[in-house]
Amino acid sequence: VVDDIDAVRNIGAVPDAEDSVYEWAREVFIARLAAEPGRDDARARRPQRRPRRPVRAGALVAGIAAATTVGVFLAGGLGTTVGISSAAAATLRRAAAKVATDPSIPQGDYLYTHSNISELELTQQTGSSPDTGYNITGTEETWVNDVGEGRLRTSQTSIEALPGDNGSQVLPALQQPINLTFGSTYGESFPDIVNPSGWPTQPGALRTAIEQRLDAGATKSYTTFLSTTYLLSEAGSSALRSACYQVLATLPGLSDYGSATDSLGRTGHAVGMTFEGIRTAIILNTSTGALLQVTNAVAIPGASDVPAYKVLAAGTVLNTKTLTDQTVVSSATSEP
Amino acid sequence: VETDADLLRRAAGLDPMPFVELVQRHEKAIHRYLSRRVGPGPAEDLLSDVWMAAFEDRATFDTAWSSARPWLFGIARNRVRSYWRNKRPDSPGFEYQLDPWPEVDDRLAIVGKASEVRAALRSLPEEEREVLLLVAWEELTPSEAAIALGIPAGTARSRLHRARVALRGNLRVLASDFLGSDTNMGDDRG
Repeated sequence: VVDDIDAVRNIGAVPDAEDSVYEWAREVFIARLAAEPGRDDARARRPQRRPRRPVRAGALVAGIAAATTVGVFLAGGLGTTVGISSAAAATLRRAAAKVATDPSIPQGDYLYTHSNISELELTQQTGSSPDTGYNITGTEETWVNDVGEGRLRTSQTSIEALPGDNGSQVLPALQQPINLTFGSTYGESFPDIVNPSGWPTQPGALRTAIEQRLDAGATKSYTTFLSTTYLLSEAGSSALRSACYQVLATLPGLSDYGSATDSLGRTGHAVGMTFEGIRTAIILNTSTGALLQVTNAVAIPGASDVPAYKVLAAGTVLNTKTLTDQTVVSSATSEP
Repeated sequence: VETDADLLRRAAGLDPMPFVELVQRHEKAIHRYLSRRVGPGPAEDLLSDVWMAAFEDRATFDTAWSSARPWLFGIARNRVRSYWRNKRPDSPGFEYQLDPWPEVDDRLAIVGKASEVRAALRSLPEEEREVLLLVAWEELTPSEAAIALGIPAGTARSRLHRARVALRGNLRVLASDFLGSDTNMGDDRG
């Protein structure tokens, strides 16, 4: 016997969507909630002081040159409200296990890491649209030993003005390579660049330390994600890199983006988080646990509370850091 | 385990966390509802609209209801109507079509089966069809369908009754089977 209700039901069967569809809808909802003008209840949860994303040294150039620079500052806040993607967390935990087995850096040696950097720096004077800006590309090299001491050298390879640029200048002195030394006193002059020394390697303690030292805030999942990601990209010891992955795996709001290709064409797996319309994604090699690339891009147009970002189209890449080479060298001045 | 009503009570304050938990409970059901009516692609876009609208209207939820699902279907229904209203604003002489059934029917045609059922549904008045679909597709009871549609429960039951009578009358091929099945007529299912 065929029930008439069943007959109707049979023609209306639809498959469930992939989990990413539901996660995406939650992300959009959270982002819109946070971005809604005049929404008192959402704004009440925002941090009083906007933490800064660790900024690459190259980005300082345009920042100093422009009258009013809208840097790649991404606020923390409501990124704590969605659940953890089990798939993303599992990917990160596997990466943590992989890199934990990497050999220690021999005493006296340094882990040399070469990265390509690109950064979109927008400036604005009217508050309505970005009227000046640069595309900056460059390189970053770090030499870091097992306890996080070492040095960083960052250089610009090109600075390209965007269409409509109003003639802001890049100070010539800042076009020279910037050299910084990692150590216990490092960080006072350039507090926005991660200092990889002195971090605990137990995940819980590391998370607490990141939240305190990088101004991530105790409950600011997104800024903790950003800070941990950049620490991961500059960490030397395998223990610290493993701990970073473990911290990332615990953060609410994490999403799994599946297979992805970095700017060098390498295939990996992407996980990340979206806040105020800006998606931060890391691509990692699932076979080795190696970090391949970190990218910040516009995911939801108009959702950012950074005015210049509101006019950017979905998919606009704000910055990338692509790790191109990593090898052990015998000193902090040696080059492979 | 907290009920939906408990979560919405807590979501009335400054903390949206309880609301996100509510979202996670019902997101699959609401997505299916949307997907059936506007297709899977637009449904993905509308899903976050539903959450936003529900959050904004959370004060309208009657905490005497333990489940928020019928209330969420009502909000989803409004989003679907808005979707169809905005989809064809430039059509000559366009006026809001209360009943988007032709579009839904076009998508069902892709399934390529049960043409008799589709024809029977097409013949129903929109208000009767909507109750029937909430019961058949979304597995609501008539009382819950009434909440979703903002109508009295008795009205929902009578519409469902009329819909099923008409449906059986129009299902010529299956008529002999249906005549032997009169269970659940107007009752709360589940």
